[in-house]
Amino acid sequence: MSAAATTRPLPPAGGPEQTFWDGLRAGEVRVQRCACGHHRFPASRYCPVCHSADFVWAAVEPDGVIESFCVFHKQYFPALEVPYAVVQVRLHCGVRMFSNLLGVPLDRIRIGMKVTAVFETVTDGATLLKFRPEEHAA
Amino acid sequence: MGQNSVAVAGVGTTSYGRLPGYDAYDLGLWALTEALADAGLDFGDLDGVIVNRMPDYQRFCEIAGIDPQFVTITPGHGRFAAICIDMARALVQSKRCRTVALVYGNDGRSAGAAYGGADDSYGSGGSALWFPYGMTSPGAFHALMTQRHMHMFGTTPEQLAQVSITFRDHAGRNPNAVMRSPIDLDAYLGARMICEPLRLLDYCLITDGGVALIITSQEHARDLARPPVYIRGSALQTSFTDSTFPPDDFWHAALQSATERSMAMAGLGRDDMSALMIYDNFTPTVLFSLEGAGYCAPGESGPFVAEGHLGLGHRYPTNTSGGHLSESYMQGWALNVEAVRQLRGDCGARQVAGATNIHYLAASPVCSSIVYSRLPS
Repeated sequence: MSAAATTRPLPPAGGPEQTFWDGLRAGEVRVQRCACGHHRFPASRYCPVCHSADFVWAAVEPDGVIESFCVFHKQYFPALEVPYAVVQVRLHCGVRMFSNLLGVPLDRIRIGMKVTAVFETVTDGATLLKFRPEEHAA
Repeated sequence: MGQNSVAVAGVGTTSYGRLPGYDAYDLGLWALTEALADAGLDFGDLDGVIVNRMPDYQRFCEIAGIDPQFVTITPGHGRFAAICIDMARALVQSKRCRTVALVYGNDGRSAGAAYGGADDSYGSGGSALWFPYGMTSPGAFHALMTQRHMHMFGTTPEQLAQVSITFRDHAGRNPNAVMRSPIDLDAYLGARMICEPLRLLDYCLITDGGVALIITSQEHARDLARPPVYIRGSALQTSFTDSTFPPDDFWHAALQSATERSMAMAGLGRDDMSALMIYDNFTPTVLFSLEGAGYCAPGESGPFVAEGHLGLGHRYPTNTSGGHLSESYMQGWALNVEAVRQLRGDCGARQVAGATNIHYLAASPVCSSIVYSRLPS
């Protein structure tokens, strides 16, 4: 129990999103793309739009926009120090993710910021999809 | 149409707060006993039972010593209060059942219920995917919605505060409320941040307690102990698509749909309402509900609540019991009981004078709207 209390929360092992987590280790954002063209995440066998089971895990453009964010002051996970921000990102393919934004102070995060993926290795087996602001041309 | 009117014939509530020694069944049975006594009915008069939040329907009925002809059990999600009431209305209206008990028991406070962290199952069940990023809890989900509402419409913490302060003022007039000490803007702003932009006083309580309602036909209810309160209209509208993430429209479309259908069924409109009961798991949920139900225009709920309309003595007294923020966390159930008590004139220091019609609203992935009235259709 005490080990669990100090270990950071990690991706669920072997779940239906395993291909997504494997993709992150390879530096790709892989989500399900249905034969109808609809992208989806979290994973499901059938497409919620056309109900086909015909899909591939496709590497999508790792860029998106911050739709919203919140800053945790209450600590829910002993290994995650507060305060920290969670951002809600919509990727250009339409899929949304909860994540963290790197390189921006908490009071400088803004809705509408354009962001791009950062693949952050947290343990030997786990890489997370985080984001940083898109570079601006000078 | 000649629709058979359906009525609430009895309501029962337990004490609220910390009730160690009572499990969820005990609290449900306590509330049901009160509700049956209120209606002037016996356990054997029930032919339908809908159990909410308690672990098991068989065990509950075994403890209650009843063998109803219809039974079901529903999960302990706040959205299910209205789902169960809507179901009971349909069961009675169709004459499938004569007298239905709705029974809710919640020992979450004493059992240490948590709404964030490793056991979080809020939403459509995929929460663990986001734990590595620290994302958890219904509060954070609503914080994300609130941040967008602030960004889009300029909603302020001072406006959210008015909801919290107003409901606490109401709770001060309710002897059964758990949190009765008045709060002011300084207290609200000075309360610790939980998940920014939401502070402690934007969050509902966690309490033990039980609630029960007895639903029956107009014909039957007229012969019972208390004046019937009619369920004039009720409707649901789900919003499940892509609901792992907050809805772009703050559930506006679903709330509008449920409100319009329930009001049409009731033959009433917003202007006919004497008071509102709005599911207040968090202060911003009240704002989203006011917009979705059309009490103000989209984006204008912040200024609307700041104008004071929700207070007792004003146009739409809301959550006159203190609601989830200050009375008890009975997941919608106690707000429905409060609607009944207001319409019977039982509310003492917090009574809305001349209360005739009351609108219950809940904004969530299952949006719901119920119109209660002293008068049948």
